[in-house]
Amino acid sequence: MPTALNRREMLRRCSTGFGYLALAGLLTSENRGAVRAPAPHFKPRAKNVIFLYMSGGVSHLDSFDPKPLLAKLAGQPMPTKVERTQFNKNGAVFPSPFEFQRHGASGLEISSMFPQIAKSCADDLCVIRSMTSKVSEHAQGNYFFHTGFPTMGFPSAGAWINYGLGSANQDLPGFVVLQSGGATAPHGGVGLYGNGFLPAQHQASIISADAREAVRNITPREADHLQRAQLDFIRAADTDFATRAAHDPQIEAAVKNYETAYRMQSAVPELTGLAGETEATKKLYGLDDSHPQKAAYARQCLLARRLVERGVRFVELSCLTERIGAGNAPNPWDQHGDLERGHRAMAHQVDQPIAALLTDLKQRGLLDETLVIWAGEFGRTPFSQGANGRDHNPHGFSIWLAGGGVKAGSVYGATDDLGYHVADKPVSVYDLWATVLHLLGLNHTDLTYLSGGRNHRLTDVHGTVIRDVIG
Amino acid sequence: MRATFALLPVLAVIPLTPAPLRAALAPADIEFFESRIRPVLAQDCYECHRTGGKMKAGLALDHRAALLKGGETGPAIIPGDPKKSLLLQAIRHEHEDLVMPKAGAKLDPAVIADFETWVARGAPDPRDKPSTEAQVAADTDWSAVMQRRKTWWSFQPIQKPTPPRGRAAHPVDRFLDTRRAAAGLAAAPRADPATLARRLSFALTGLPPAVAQRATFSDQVETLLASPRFGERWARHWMDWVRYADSHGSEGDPMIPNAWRYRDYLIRALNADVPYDQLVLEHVAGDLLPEPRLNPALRLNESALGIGHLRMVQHGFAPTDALEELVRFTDDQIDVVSKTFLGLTVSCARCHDHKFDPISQRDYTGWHGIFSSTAPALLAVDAPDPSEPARRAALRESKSRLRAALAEAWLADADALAVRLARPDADLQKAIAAAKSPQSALHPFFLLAKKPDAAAALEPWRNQLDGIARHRDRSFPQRWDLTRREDIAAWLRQGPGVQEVSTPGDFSIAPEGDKIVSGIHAGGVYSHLDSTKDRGLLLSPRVPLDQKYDLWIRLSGEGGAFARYVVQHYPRDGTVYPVQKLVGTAPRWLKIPLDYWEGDLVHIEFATAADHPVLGAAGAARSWFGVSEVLLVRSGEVGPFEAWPFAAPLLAAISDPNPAGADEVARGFAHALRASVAAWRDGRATDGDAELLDQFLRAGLLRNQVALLPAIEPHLATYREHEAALPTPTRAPGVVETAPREAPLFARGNHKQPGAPVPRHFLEDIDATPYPGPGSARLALARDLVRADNPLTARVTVNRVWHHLFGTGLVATPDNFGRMGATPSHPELLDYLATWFIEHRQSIKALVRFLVTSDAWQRASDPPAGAVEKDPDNRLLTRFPLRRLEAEAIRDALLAVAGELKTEEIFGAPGTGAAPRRSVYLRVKRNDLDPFLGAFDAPVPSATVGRRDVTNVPGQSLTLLNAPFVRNLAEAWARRLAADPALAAPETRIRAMYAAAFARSPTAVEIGRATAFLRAGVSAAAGEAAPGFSSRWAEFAHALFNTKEFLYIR
Repeated sequence: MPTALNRREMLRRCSTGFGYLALAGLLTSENRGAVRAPAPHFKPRAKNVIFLYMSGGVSHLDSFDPKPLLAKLAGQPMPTKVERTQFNKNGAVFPSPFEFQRHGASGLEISSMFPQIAKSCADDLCVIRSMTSKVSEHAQGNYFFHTGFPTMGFPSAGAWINYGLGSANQDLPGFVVLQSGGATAPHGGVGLYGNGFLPAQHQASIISADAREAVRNITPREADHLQRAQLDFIRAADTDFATRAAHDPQIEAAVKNYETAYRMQSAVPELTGLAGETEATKKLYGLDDSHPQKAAYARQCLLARRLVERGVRFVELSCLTERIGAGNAPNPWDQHGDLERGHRAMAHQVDQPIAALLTDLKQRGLLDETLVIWAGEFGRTPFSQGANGRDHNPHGFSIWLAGGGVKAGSVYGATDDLGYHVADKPVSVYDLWATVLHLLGLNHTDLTYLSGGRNHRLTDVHGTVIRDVIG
Repeated sequence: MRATFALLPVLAVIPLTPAPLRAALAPADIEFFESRIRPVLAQDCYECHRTGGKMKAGLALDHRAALLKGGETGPAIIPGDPKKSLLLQAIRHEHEDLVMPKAGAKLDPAVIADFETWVARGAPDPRDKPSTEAQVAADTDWSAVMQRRKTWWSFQPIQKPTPPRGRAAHPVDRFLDTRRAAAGLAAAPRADPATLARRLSFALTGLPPAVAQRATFSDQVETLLASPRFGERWARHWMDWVRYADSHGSEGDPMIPNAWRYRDYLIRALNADVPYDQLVLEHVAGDLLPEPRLNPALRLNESALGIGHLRMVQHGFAPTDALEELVRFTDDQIDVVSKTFLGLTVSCARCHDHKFDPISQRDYTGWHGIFSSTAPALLAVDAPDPSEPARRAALRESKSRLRAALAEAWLADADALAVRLARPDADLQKAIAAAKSPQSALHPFFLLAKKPDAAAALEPWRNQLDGIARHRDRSFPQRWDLTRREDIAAWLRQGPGVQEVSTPGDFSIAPEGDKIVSGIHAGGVYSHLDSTKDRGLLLSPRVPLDQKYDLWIRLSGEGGAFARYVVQHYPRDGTVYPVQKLVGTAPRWLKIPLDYWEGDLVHIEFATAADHPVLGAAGAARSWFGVSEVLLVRSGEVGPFEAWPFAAPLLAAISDPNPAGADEVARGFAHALRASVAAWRDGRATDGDAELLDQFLRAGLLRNQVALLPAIEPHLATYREHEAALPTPTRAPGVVETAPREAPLFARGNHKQPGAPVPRHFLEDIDATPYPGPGSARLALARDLVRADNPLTARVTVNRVWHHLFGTGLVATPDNFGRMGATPSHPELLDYLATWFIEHRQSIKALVRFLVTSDAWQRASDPPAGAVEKDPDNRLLTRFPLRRLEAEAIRDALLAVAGELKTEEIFGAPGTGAAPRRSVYLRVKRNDLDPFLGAFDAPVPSATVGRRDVTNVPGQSLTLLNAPFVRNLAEAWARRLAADPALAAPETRIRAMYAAAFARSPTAVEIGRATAFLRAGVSAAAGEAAPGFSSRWAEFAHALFNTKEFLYIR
């Protein structure tokens, strides 16, 4: 196969690879956003982030925040004021159908929804039980969680981090969103992964982990020698043009861009093809699972490890729908009805792959420098919606962090006895990102970009680093 | 180094103890400090550096000793030595770590100079104690801050400078040449004609030039300015300014109905060269202009289309906090209007006074009051049709003839009624058997069929009369009796039918078919008495829900007309925002609980099917609604009495309270019908008469078919002819005026902490006079945007045009002329152009012509000697800046060169990227933006974008190399060329391709290279998976698409 050889040869010869590289840096001029060399502000604890986004809203009451009172009050009206819910079909107090047990040396309480995570990783998790959001609607909630603002047009956290730290690997984009199977962007669309007002190279590259064409237009449509010949012709023409244009740096950069693109065509399939992974590793993640959604999510988890191994700063994963109780492709965890069955199916999809990811990262010594975030846009209500569902609850819910310098095997904050509102140490999305940035060695008040007449931050004008979750 | 700073000055200064110094201060020094230094320290520094305040880095700047003592990095100043003073280094941005003011713009050079002077004079400072709260409050008082900020260049009146002397004929060149010559730089020569033709064609129309351009440059300019493609190109620029979108985004991402009409409006307006100030008026208050700009050919009110951008906001899905949503989308409107037309970030004053510009939170709140005194709506944008009043009069006349003729026939039916009811035929028996409910006029006969007790058969109705009276006398927390003119007067009404309350007995006619009358109505407001094509829109005044209520509405309707409550103007539907679609709804009470929204502000809204502000897109062309009463009832209380007005005349006609039997009831019915028909004929029908007739019509007891009433036919035909000729309304997104509202000042922007209401007004800086009611005051705001002493609008506009022609504005930040924006590279030229623009009818075409005919615009892009080194950003315009084409121009050029572009497919509903239409006509769906355009930096529609990013990312190369869209165009181009016998010879064909792609001839080298490329590797090797192109010519065409020369203009 001379074709493949040529491409691989090309790859070897060139030190820079694919991705939204700092080519645009050559073009930075004018008095737009502050131009600073990407670098941490102080010594970082973590280098990379894996964001396990549980779109649709996982019930904290059924996963990481046990509330015995709910069983006592089962079927009774809520004893406290009920806030506006999005569906206004509020029923009685609804105890969790899942059982909680203490796990690991830390005795962390995890429900039977996540047996594998509980068994292998309880002592790695730092559960925040006092997360809050300002929005109880999916799209705005997703935007708020990703960008700190409820509408499109602002940079995603991954873009901010990419902007703040730059890419650790010139061959790869700094911010990757993984999808597989039928996974799509959550409600709000791909704008959730946008660069907002930051330069475009900071936006996410979406990689479809199991698609024939993992990145849009990445597959050459003709034999390599034909494409190479064409590229040679283009380069010759461009060289003439660049000469006529007095070697304008824009032109030079655009010419280089073609070689980068050319190399991407083979680099991406090599990455997504999982070359070099053993059967045991694949099995650990569950790539061989008979349940297609689980196998597809497992593939994202394994690819996430490959990406952080290669220095990608921020990898976000996408759950797949199990089509239960209003949980559709953009919001698979959204069990307004049939919560037990739906959450069980969703948990089955992600439990083993996530446990494997944490285990694998640990085995390879990567967990210390990789911050794993597990979160959805909100939690769910302690009272039922209709017969057996739960509505959205942004007033208090659980997320967890692992690796990356967080206090392993710990719990931070608390909701009230009903699991409805935060009762202790409320954490906002701004606090979360301030803490994440801190772990990455970035001061959230100093990571700014001038746009629309003011200096913007991922944490807007808010945010406090939560020292107590840092190990 | 820092340690040195920290030590030296302390030793030097401490002996000069502060206290006695004060007496020594000269009056001139005090004056200097008070006027030049104190305000800056107070307003730009105290926020972080004040005793008792944040004291960042341990530094306070609010009294002399604190400055001398300094903070963690040492004394702030060394009196007498500006160079060594940290404060000076920080404000000059010369210190590697300290860059002050933090998060703010660098201070004016003049202010920095003042500080140098001050420190050099020994930093005389009368503040011998930390400033008190009162002193700080006085020093940072808004009016004091404002006065200082008003000195920023863009708030100064526009000057009318005379162009400097110079050799150049064009005044613009004389301004530019003077600055350039002062920098000692030469200018590039004029570009060659081919380069210029290509540059001009893209700049003016966004398309490559027609092949074989032989006209003179100025003829080319005129041709392109006159081309319909001009408006398409420049409308797209404008769409960037107003964040044009076809959908609202968020979950569901619903389409904004007919958003494209606004895009078409822009294209027409720019092609027609409508003066800019007129367009500004239209963008803010086009629907309110006393003399709107009408388009007779399209029968459109063009002006009203201008406000369409106000609807291009994002809307969340079913937000539980509706007020927050209102605050946010109103903020979006304010942001876009202020940035687009004023180049100001008024939105930055949402939570507090602006941090940098003379814009107060009160200004922002005043604007919030203006825009939130409107509600989202679809507008009718038809130009008044002069023939319409006469047509409607004729239509109504035909209806009164119909009424007379029908009444005559129905009197005969009434005569036969007693017999028919007494001995019902099969049809009538069926109708009686179905009349199980007392809401049916035949109900007594239903009961009589079961039990021959006439008194008992009428019993259910007897209670009616009391109930109706009790309902009339009951008091409700809120009641609108829409049969009363006084009550409807407070509602916003749009559409010919709903302007007035109806008269009981008013009726509607079926527009087609055998059936004649479609309904006879009790009093109320009806949208369809002329036609079901007529639009109807009814909005109640806003009501604060001070407790839990149920909404009760008595209404009827068909065809999917909408009834709903609207919380805080939120226009979408879903979960806690229900809509009622009226589909064959007979008059009835509808109950809608409002308890969920306790504490919010709501209004009630009725709309014909195509007039819901979001769902109207899918609405039927014909629909109607009628409403007679709207009530609020406290939750838990009994609803209104369900009256059946038709029972009254029937009971009245049966004089004996204990009728002997069915026959007597039947006779009474006949008598009642006769009386009701007569009353209806004479125009004195009651609600009871009207509903009785309507019931009898439905029951088939009155003839209502053309076949049975041939005498009616001519009148019916006349009505239908007029009805058919009534135009279907043209709908476009916009807003309607609600009762004016002075918005409360939200404490720190928190909508849950409303403060005192703020009068609606323009910007205090220009005019603080409150706008009077009635209405939202949009028209007043619009006029202030274009008033002669407004220093911003004209400057902002000429700068935008300059930006699009020269690549960078004279002010490099076209959307921000405030303190955080750039200062003009050529301030006199900017003012000269602003004045010129105003003096030239605010004609955008004239301005474009004026600018492109300058020497500067026609220079070659090759930098003259020394230019790159001395002026790397080309701010002095020594050469024309080389630029990549915008996303739309790249796509359009690909289509045009391939010969696939359908330039005749203009206007109308947007298409997807696969459609070979100009890119301006592609759908901008927020959650599904076109990936091709996105790859080349088409903006995400979320805020004003006056200057697009120009990025260079591999996705662009991958798109051009591998996207099927691009490759198919290469194939199409090759096929087209191959089919042209005149281009059979390879060299001829190569020449044609270079001409099409680059607007020039190829060199001999290029022809040789192309020929070699075409000859090489004729086809893919056998067995290769990727098929590649069908011919070398297609491969070659694709290669040309991928050259930088294709993508860039010089």
